[in-house]
Amino acid sequence: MLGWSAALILSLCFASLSVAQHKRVVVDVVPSASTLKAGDDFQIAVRFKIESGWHMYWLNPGDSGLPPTVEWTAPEGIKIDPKLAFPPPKRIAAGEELISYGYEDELVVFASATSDRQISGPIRIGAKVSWLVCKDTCISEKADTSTTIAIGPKTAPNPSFQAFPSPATVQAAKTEHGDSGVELTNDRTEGTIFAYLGKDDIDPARVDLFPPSVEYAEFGKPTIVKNVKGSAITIPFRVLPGMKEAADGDAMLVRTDDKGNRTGTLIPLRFDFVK
Amino acid sequence: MKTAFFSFALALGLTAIVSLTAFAEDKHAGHNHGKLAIGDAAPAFTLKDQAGKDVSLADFSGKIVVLEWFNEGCPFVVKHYKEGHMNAVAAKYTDKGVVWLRVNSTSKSSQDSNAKIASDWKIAGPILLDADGEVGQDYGATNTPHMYIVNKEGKLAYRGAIDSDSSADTSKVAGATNYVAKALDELVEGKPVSQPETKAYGCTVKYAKN
Repeated sequence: MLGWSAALILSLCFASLSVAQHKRVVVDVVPSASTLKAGDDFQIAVRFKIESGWHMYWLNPGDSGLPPTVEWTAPEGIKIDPKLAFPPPKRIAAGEELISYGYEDELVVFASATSDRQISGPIRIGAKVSWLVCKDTCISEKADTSTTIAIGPKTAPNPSFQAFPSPATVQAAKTEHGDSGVELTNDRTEGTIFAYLGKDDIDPARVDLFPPSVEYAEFGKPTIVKNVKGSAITIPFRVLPGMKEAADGDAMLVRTDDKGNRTGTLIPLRFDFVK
Repeated sequence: MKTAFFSFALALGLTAIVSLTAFAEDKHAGHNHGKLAIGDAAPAFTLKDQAGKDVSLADFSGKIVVLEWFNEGCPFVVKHYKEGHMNAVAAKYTDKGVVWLRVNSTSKSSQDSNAKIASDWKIAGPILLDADGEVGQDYGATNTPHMYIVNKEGKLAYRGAIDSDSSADTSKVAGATNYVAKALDELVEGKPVSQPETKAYGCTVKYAKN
């Protein structure tokens, strides 16, 4: 009996250990350079390999969720921009009427970094990463990870980094394609974000617009419209009462090419709801 | 919202030409969840608490009632219970005559699971079982936690987030603005709620799939 109890306790211990160690997401950090010349700029990617069936979130998670965060540690002479660049998200059904904006299978986010000419190597960059991963249920996970970069006479690209798809590029509010921005009704209770896409008709399957993470605004569905200036994609929004000051946020325009490749463009927007 | 959109379309000189089939899977516009607006009569309900007792909104006529959409499996709910923050806020206002009801619309929840978590997390008030999700749908609850306040007149006075920090990090609760506490302070003093709607954050309510 004692033996069975001991076996049971042992197996429970192992079971809880394996549950504690099981993560739905595996994280690693990949620098853009395998060797860095002191004084050069570089990038660092954080790669999340997501278990099948689970998903993670964009900066605006949609109706639920939370984007991942990274807290960097680096030696003196290395500066890492805390703002992460995210690739184009997808719409993921999160319930009958709810949509999350996020990623399945793999997510790679990028941070820009600079180095001083005085640094000597090798340098170790640490990343405390935390994220939410969801399926039928949501789980908070975290990891401490790091990478080491050699310092040498010439910066050498890291092939593992070069294989990553690039994240969204930043686009000014006015572009060669036309204007993008925010329009409010006269009473400032509702509005629309819009981005002109050019003169041609737009295949709705090839374009999407993700609203920014802005408190005090509730966004609706995207629609494609056309006028003399060309085609535009728009999203209506309602202003939640109580807004005290203006807010900035980036929407992401996502276009899909003939081969199914998706390219994201960030559209910086300014929301001024103050009545 | 359609009206609003078209008014904008006109303002921008736009004409909608495509109904986006690509977005057919998209949710309805966020604010269409439920038809309930601030100032509307709060939908009546009768649900069983963790002891099997019927609890009706009508039981609390003339009182301020907080409805907290709850799911113990959601990290954002755990965030507010792990160190007792939600219980402390609930206790503070129940002492002032406010009624605090947790509603569990999680399809897999049961009276027993509600009783267990009430005991484990030292929750003093009722956790109401809404496993078929009807009350949640009536109120348009989308997230856990999703907070509603019904005023003494039985009308919806607040809907949205518990606080201003949308992370799942317990250490950030103390520094956040608690919107529900702020609204309750105003209501208790007989003032209108200055910020009646905020954007709820958290997990989605795990409704039964139809």
